[in-house]
Formats: sequence, structure tokens, C-alpha cells
Amino acid sequence: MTDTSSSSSSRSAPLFIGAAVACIFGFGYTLSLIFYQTPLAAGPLYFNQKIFYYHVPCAFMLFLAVIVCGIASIKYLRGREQRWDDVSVAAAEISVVFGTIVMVTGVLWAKPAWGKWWVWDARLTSALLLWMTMIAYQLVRKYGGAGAERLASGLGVFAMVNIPLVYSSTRLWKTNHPSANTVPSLDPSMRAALWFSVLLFTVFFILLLRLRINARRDERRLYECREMALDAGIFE
Amino acid sequence: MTLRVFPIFALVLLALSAAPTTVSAQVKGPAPYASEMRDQCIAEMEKDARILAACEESHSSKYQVQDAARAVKDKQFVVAAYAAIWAVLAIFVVIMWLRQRKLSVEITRLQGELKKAAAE
Repeated sequence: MTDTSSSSSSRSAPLFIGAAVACIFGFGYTLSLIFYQTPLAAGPLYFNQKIFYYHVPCAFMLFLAVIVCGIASIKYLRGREQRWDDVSVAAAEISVVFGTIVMVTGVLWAKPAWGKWWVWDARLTSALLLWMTMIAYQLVRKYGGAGAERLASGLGVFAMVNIPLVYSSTRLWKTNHPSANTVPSLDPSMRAALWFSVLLFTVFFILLLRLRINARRDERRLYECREMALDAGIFE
Repeated sequence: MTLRVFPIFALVLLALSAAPTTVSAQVKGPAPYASEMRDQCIAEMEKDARILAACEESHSSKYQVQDAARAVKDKQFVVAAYAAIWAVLAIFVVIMWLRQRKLSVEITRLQGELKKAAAE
């Protein structure tokens, strides 16, 4: 039986505190940076451009989460080691969270910028496909029954393969979405705010990933305890 | 000596202070200068009064008001987006924390029951 004296909840407590502090600090400082220290964008975007400082880092985190999920899925499919499945599940769940944020902020940016909530261009459609693949991963895990983890791992690999397509869609096709070349042309203070935001979200992503992996391990430990309880005749 | 110099000094000061007012009263807009483009513009404006009207209108406060209104409207979308981001992240962290706590409680309870069963 697995020893739970060093329960992962107590191990993850400092991580929870770290995540909360990063969240509060990030929220306060990036708001000041974005709304008071960076200049207004010239041209038609004007104030609306300020969504960019969170939208882009969250899109990076979506990509990062899907890449982590994809690599862990490959490792799991090759060696069937539970620890890689834990990483894959944790990253997939976080990718759905960041995917939701990217979709919501994108839609809220599109309305004032393009006058429409949504357009079916290559970037938006491929990003939507990526997000829906990760939602499908969750559904397969939850309702897939026996062997669902292998099927879900396959989905994780498929989602990872989709990332280069999402990233380069603005170059491959004619899209309304601003291209990746926008960043080098930005004002230095705008670039600094963007990269600070990316750094902050990366730290936050790592904390979330660690916490979710710990929770996943506890879920497995609980399953083991239940099995032992059944064997001992405690449960009918 | 001082009494003689004072009126002259006062006159010079008066002339200096009045000079820019006199110049600005005579010339509207930027100071005249020789330019082919400027002459062309003046000629075009004289030909068609609507060009002059359009130029004058582009300086009107109407556009400033429009820009300000747009900035305020854009701000609402930006604030909504930021609120949505932190709401989604906060909900995720809270759900994760609640799930973790429930798991820990369940593991402790099961372990206790297992120990009790083993002792019996």
C-alpha cells in the first residue's frame, strides 16, 4: 500500500500559495504595465490592442500545454508508465483552460476590431479545432471506458501535430488575424510588457501542472485504497 | 538718467509684447512659405470650396468625440476580456483545490478503515 503520510495535499500547499501569489502579483503588476505604462497602439486598433498582452501569452500556454500533453502521451504509449499518463492528463486539462481563455479574449477582440464576433479564417478555425481536440480528450478520458487512456493519448499526439499548422496559418493562408511578425515591430515598452506577461503565465502554468499532477497521483492512490478495502471486505 | 531711460525701456517692452499678437492677427494658420505644393493646394481650394470645407471639418471636435467614444467602447471589451481571464483561472484553481481536499479526506478515511480492519 502506498504511504500517504506525506500526502500530496501537504506537499502541494506551498505550490498553491505560490500560484496564488503569482496570480495576485501578476494581476496587479501587469494591469499597471498594460493600462498605464504601455502606449496606445497607433491605427485602427487603438485601445483594443491591449487585449494582446494576455491573449498572446495564453495562446503560448495553450501550445505549451498541448506539446507537454503530446510528448507525455507518446511516452505513455511507448512504455505504459502511469507517471506519463498523469502528466498527459494534467497538461490536457490545463490546455482546455488556456484554450477557453484564448477563445473568449479572441472573440472579445474581434468584435471591436472587425465588427464581428467570429470569422471562419484559417487561424481561428485551426485554433478552434485544437481547443475542441483537447475537449474531446477530456470526454474520452471521462466516458471512454476501458482503454480510454490509449485513445486519449492518440488524441493528445494528434493535437500536438496540429500546433505548427495553427502557428503558421497566418503565413500559409490569407487571414484576418494579425501575423506573428507583429511582435518584433512593437514599441520596446509594449514588447517588454508582452514578454513579462509570457514569463508570468509560464510560471503559473508550471505551478498548475505540478498541482494537477499531484492531484492525479492522489486519485490513483485513492483507487488503490478502494481496491485494498474491497479485498479486505470493508466494502461489499 | 533713470527717468529718461524708463519711457524708452517701457516702449521697447510694449512693442515686443505686441509684436506676436499683431503677426498672429494678420496670418491664419502656419506662417507663409514658398512651396509648389502649397500653391497647388491653395489653387485647388479656390477651384472647389468643398475641399476647403472638408479640410476644415477634419479639424472639428466631432472626430475627437467619435475617437473618445470608440476608446471608451473598446475599453469595455478589454476590461471584459481581462475579467474573463482571471475568472476562468480563479475557477480552475478553486475547483482543483476543492478536488484535492476531497481526495485527501477520502484517502485518510479509507486508510483509517483499512487499519481498523487489519487490527480486527
